[in-house]
Amino acid sequence: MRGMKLLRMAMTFIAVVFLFSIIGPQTGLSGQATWGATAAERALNGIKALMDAGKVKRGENFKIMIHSGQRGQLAPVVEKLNRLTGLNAEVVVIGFEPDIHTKAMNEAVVKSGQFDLFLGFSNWTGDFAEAGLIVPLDEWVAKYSPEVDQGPNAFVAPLDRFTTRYKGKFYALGMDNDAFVLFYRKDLFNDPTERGNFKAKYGRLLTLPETWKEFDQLAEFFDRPAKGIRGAHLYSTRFFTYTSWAPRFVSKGGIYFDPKTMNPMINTSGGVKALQEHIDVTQKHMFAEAYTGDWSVSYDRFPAGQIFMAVAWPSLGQFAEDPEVSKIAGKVGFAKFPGSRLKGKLIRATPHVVGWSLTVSRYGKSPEVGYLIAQWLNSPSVSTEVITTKGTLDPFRQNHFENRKLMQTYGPELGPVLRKNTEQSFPDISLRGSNEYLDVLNLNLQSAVTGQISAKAALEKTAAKWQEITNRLGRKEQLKAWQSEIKGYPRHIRELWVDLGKVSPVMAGL
Amino acid sequence: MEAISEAKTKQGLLFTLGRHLNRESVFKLSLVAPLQLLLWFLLIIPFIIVIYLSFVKWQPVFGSWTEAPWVWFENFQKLFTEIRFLEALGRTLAIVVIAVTLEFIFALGLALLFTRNFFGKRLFTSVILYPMMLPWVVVGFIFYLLFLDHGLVNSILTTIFGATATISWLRHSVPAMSAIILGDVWQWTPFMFLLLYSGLSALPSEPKEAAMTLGATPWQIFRYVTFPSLKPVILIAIIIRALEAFKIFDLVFIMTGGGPGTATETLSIYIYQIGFRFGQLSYAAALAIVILITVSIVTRLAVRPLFEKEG
Repeated sequence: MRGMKLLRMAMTFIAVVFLFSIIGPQTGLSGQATWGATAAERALNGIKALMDAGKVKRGENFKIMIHSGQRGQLAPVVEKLNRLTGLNAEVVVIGFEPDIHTKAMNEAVVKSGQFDLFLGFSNWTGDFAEAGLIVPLDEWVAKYSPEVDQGPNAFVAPLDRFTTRYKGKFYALGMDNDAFVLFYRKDLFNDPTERGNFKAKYGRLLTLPETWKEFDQLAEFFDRPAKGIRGAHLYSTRFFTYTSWAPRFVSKGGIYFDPKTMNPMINTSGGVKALQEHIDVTQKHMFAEAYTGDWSVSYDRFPAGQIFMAVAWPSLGQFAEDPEVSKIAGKVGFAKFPGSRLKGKLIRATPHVVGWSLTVSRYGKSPEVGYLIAQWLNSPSVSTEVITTKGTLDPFRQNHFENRKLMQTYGPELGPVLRKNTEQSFPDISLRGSNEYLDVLNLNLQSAVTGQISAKAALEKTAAKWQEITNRLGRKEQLKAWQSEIKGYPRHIRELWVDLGKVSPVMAGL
Repeated sequence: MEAISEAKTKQGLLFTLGRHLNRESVFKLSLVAPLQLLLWFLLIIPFIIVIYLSFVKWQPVFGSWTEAPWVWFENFQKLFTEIRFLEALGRTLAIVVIAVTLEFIFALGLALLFTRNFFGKRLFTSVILYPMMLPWVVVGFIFYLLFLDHGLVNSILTTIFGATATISWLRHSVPAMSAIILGDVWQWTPFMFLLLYSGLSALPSEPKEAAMTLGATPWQIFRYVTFPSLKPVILIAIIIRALEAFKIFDLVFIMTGGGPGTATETLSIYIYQIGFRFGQLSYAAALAIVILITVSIVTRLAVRPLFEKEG
């Protein structure tokens, strides 16, 4: 009798194991069944399990370094997290964006354990990882499934790659979408007289610009300095000129570095042409603040009705459509980012400028709990709540674009345009030393835009300096990071590189 | 024998130490020690670390600084071949020379004016001192707004000259540097004025009166009596202001960010970029040491006349 009982128990155990081995991996239930049905639930249950195991105490303080522009979005949900878990998480607000990098790198040196999470620029992840400040997340991503690249709530590709990975490993959870959008004055664009005049002048119908050539034409046509309206606004400031040059360059098939040697590939005819086009349109059809102001100039001038077209972050749409601060509310149009025609194909390339990603400190109280806090904040449901509040974090998950309440804050037209622009967006240089690479590029581009040096000289100087930086930081490791980074570019750009013989299909991840 | 002589030596040392460390000196030492230790901790140790860092190749992105490879004078060599550093140094020196000279001329003129009595003198003195009380950041914003293309400066020029003034002050190197220098002069002339005015007020009146009795003209009195007596104060005012101007950061950072390109990048902005934005801390350490040594030598040479006179 006893033997039979034992045999039955053993058979039942084998059957259960067998069932799980078949069903589990196919449906992804093995992790989800353990931790919960949603990413938020799995994060909360994970925290509770770690508390029960005594790995973290109730009331333990977890500090999240954020920028002041995100306080309104994150502080309320962090309070909610504390109510749900019994933790004592708090946001530490930094007012000046570059200070987040400085303070985080300081933590990498002093290892004080003062911070548990950093919400920094997506392209700082390389610096943080190489300094040993943050931990790779692959193990926990597999265990708790944050729904980054699978399921209906996944990130809009390619954000799932370049806001989360460095050298092929998961190091961050992207919390933002900074793909640029082209904004324009719909009232002027739709005006029958303007349309007639445009056709008379250029011999074609007035349409939204598909190419940079058309963009420059529109900037010229709608440039009315005597009436206080300038044709366009693209950034040419000390820290952001690259955002105006790079989309022209990349859409012409440009790539920053050779993926075989790490030699700069910007000083090419395409690179020089892209810069010359930008110089011409900036000098002729923009306010001088395009060079001398900061990023906020378009946030003042466009809502004031003084610019026909502006290129900026999605949040400009929220400002321009807000009747309390804007003179052109209801007159704002949103357009897909222009591109270049190559071999009969239209190649659009939208710059993803900055973007914010959550990373987990190696020196925090419990990196695993830190990760779970990040997963909870990043989860489809909580991040929707975060982004519905006005701030610097914008929609990045597929479900965000389908959430009616969230999309209302952007107006009915911006959502679909932003999603399209995101799908063709490419990242800032995200290598170790990204700040330095971009700064050298910026200062030389700005010197060219302000007429101090020629376009060719600017790119030559940048390329020479980039070589120096790469040599100092270690060519082999930088090359490894770059080879991984290019796989985060949108598919159509990688295909173009392969087509132009700049990258092999394997290296392009195709 | 050796053990005995060693014991004697120890006793002798203890005796000498004990003789010096009487109760009073122990008390004095215990008063000074906490501050000394704090100073050691806050100044000396970090300074030693800075010296160490300047001889190694290290950035936080390379990992632990204690394992950084020794590169001897490589960071210092780089300094003298780095065009951006040399240009920043040149610009900083230009700002120091031009701004401090202008501040001195304006401040001396004002100080001489204010030695006389006139209606509303107290009120004007307060008004003159206000810019100095403003934070750098505020002054930066004020001058940024003034020198925008549609700012007040261009509006005033338009009013004066009739034709629309469209000078892009902050877009080109020379106008941008001029705007920065003007901002510095506006804010810091009052400080120089305060020092010179105090110096002038403290001068004895007898030598001047004697010169007047002997028939000296006002210019001769200034040239041969007032100015030589005021020299120590002038020297101190110029040194303090020059050292401050050498560190100029906020005004440039807010008005131009060092741009266009690097056209207005000063030494402080350069160090900030190198050290804090790019994390090249070894190179920044070498830079800091060179600047410290240079400034110390220049200051020592500048104050030399003061001490020579005393000697």
